[in-house]
This record gives sequence, C-alpha cells and structure tokens, in this order.
Amino acid sequence: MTLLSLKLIWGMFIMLRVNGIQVGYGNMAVIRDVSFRVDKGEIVTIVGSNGAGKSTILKSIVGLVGLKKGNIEFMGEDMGKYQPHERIERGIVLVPEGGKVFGRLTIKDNLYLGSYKYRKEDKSVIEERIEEVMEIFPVLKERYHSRADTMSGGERQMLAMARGLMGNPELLMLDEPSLGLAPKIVDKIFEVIQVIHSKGVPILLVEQQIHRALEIADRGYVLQDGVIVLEGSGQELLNSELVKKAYLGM
Amino acid sequence: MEKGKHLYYVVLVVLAIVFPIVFNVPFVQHVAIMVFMYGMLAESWNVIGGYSGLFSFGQAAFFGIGAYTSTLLYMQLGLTPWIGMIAGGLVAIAAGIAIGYPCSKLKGHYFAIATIAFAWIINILFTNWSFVGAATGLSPELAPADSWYAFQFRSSKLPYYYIGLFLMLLTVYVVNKVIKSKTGFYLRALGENEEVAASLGVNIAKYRLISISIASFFTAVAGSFYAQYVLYIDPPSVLAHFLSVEIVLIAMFGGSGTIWGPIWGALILVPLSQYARAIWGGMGSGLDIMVYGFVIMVFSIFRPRGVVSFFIRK
Repeated sequence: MTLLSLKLIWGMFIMLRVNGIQVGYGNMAVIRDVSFRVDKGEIVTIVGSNGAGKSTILKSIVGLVGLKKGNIEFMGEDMGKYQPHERIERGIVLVPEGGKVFGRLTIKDNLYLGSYKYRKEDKSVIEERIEEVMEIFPVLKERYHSRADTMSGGERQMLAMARGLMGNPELLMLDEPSLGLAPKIVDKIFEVIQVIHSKGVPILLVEQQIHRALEIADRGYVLQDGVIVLEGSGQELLNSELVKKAYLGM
Repeated sequence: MEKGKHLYYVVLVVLAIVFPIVFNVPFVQHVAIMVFMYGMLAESWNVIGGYSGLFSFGQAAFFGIGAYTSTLLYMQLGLTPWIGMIAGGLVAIAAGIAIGYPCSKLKGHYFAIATIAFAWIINILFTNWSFVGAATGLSPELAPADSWYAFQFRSSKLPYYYIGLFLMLLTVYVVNKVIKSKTGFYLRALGENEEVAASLGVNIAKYRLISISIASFFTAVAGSFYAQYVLYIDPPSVLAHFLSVEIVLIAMFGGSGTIWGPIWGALILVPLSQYARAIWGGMGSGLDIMVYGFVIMVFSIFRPRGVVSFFIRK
C-alpha cells in the first residue's frame, strides 16, 4: 500500500490533525508543542482561560498566523503550502470571536460574503444555500435587508455563524461563540451548535464557558499557557479534578 | 427615483460644461481645472483608503510617475502625451504592485508608513537621476501653436478644462462601476475587517493589488494631465509629500468611502486653498495655509464623516 493511499484512508476518518505546532509573536511562544485531532462527525472543544492561546490555534489552522514548528493536516493534506483563502476553499471555516460581522453591510451581503468560494457559481446556488442556512437561523430572515450594525450581540453572533455555514464547511471552527452574551442567548447559541452538528458538520469549538462546551463535546483538550495539559472525552474532563478545581470552582 | 437621480446628474454635467463660458476668467478656470484634478486624485485614493481600508500616504509617487513617464516619452521619442498618459498609468500599476506585493501583509499604520517611505524613495531617486532632469526637472519643447497631438494649449484654458472634467467624470464612473461590482463588494469587506474577510476565504493579497492598481493608474493619469497643463515638472512639484497629504485630506474632508465625497472635498477645499493663496499667499506669513488648516480642523471636529454626511440620512 502506498503512502498516498494510506494518507487518503487516514483522511477519511480524521478531518484535522495538528502535529506539535509552535506559534509565537517575535521571540515569545504563545503555543508550544500542541497536538490534537478532530475526527469526522465530532464536536471537539479546546477549553482554557483567557489568554491561554485558544484563538491563536484557530488562526494558525486557517493560516492567519504562521507556524514556527509542527504542521497541520486537513483531510490528509498538509496545509503548510496553502494561503488562508486556499485553506478555506478546501472547507475549513473559521467564525471569529465576538460576533464580528461587516456592520455597514446588510445581513444579505454578509451572507453573500460567506459564500466567497462559490463566487463563480450561479446566483441561484447561493440563494438556495441562503435559504438552507436561514432555516437554522430564522431571526436573520426577519431582518434580511437590515444593516448588520443594527443587530444585537446575540443576533450578530448568529449572523457570523450563518455566514460561516454559507461556505458549506467540511470543518467549522467556532471561536468563543458565547463571548459577552446573556445566559439565555448563550443557551440558544449552544442549541444552534448542536443543530449544525446534527447536520453532519464537524465542529472545533473554542470556549471559556468550559462546562457548557464540555457538555456537548465528544472530546476536549484543556489548554494552559499555550500547552495542552489534559485531554479526554467531554464527560471525562468534566469529572477531572484539574478542570473542577481550576475552571469550575468546585 | 432612479430617473430623477439621472436627471440631476445630467443637470450638473451641463452646468459644468457651460461654467467656463459664463465665467470666462482665466483664474476661475484654473481653479476649476485644479478642482477636477484633485477630484480625480481624491477619488482614486478613495478606492484604497476609503473602500479597501489601506491608508496610503504616498500617492504623490504615482502622480510623479505619470507626469514623468508621459513627459519623457514625448521628449525622448516624440510620443503623444495621450499615449504617454496610458503608459504612465501602466508604469504606475507596475510600481504599485512592486510596492503593494511586499507590503501585502502590512496593516494600518505600518502600511501608511511603507507608502510614505516609498514616495520619499521615488522623490530622492528622481531628484538625483540626471536622465529625468534631476533637481532641475523637465520641460518639454513648446509646440508652435495649440496642438492636440502635443497636448498643449496656450491660447485658452478651455481645452484643459474640458479634458480635466472628462477625466474626473471618467474616474468617478470607473470607481463607481468597480465598487458596485463583485470585486468592489470584496474590497469593501476588506476595508471593514480584513481579518474576518480573510477568514471567509477572500484572497486579501489579490484584492489589495487590484485596489492599489486602480488607484495608481488614475493617479498617474492625473499626473500626466498636470504635466501637460503646466509644461514643467520637477520633484518638488509632482513628487512632494504634501501632495500625498492633500489627496488624503480632500477625500476625508468630502467623505471617504462614498462615491461623491472626494469630489465634494475637491469642490470645497481646492478653491479655498487657491483663493487663500491668491489673497494672502503673497504676504509671506503663511496666513493662507493657516486659514486652510483651520477650516479643515473645525470641520473635521463637527463633521468627522465629511461633507457627504449632510446628505446621508442614517
């Protein structure tokens, strides 16, 4: 069996494989020797306190931040040679933290921007996709022609996630989707994450709301000061002494 | 509604056409020509600074490249400045890509600093390069009479007026078309939030270069036009840092990120600058520049979104 065919079989089960990456700014290493994987159909979460380096990991996967060491494989292919837009063409989609939307553009335009990789397709393909996405986020339908900066924080987060889904992701990466939102809205966001997952989209979730994230995750990793200190199933991590003591105040 | 809007533009263009016939005063016509030229420059900058979020403070480099290219082609090869104008635009695109590509990862202030440095390098290079006339500058041979081939008109400013008006309207038309196209859509996304645009797969480097190319081309065309208008160019007149600053000021004053904002900026600031210079410039006290600066300062405090904010309801 050739190396290529082995890689292809490997890629059938493992969506993303991060191998010993080191990321830093100048001489300072923010992420050190981090390895993890996301398999098909999984929700995997990376949890940790503010400043642990969670967002940096996501940015490095999509290519917005360069690696100093290690490599990232997506569906069996090394991503090192690809620019951010080429990685996204291959199906990795990042929804940045803080519900970042294009405030001066309408909801419709924001969704169209999410379909960048289908820009050469017929308009009807994109409109069909918008319809599908708005079934998950009905609130967007009501305000379709409004400017995004007129929306509440929760609605913006919904829009950011919907925009991410417009790219028909093979892997959806959510960066702190609950950041700065009221508990009721957070409930809604987590419900939506499960709906997206039920449609077969693997999710890599980065969160500070550790309990909520581990509850819905198949597997999780605990990140401290740029290093993974613990890994296991969501339930295992919830029961671990380290997580209870350091993050859940128990 | 759309029909009414078109009629409004037609009326404005007709007014612009009859203006120099009604006000047949050379100085007034000169001011109008400068309005068109600066309107064109500010509109070009608007593509990068207003829509794409790239603050360039080095547009004088492209203006100078346009001016020098058409003048040199005319002086060395006898090529009509009309073709020289296009050639200048193309050379400026090449220069824009040459500076834009290595700077494709620079953001905000760092990009602005890189453009300032680039403009200074071009200025110093041209000041010391004997082939382009060095500090002495270049002055093409004067045609014996008004000539369309040589792009020289000395009996009247009217040809310059109408050419300037046409070039400005052409720039507005092209920028409007680009901004309303799919490309413009991605440029605006880039200007709003580059990182989010990148996370959606928008090819940042490609759209940055498109934006820089459009702005460089029209800035250089304005440079060629200016060179033919004054028929003498040297680094302080076409590569001056203050020119880069003026372009940004006019666009911001009128309202960057809107199609008509930069034109409004030119319509107000250029006559103000020209008349202030004519009235107080000879006193040697710098009063003209003080008045100019004071108006910009006060207006920026009360109308930070520019003149167009009077017309935009939010």
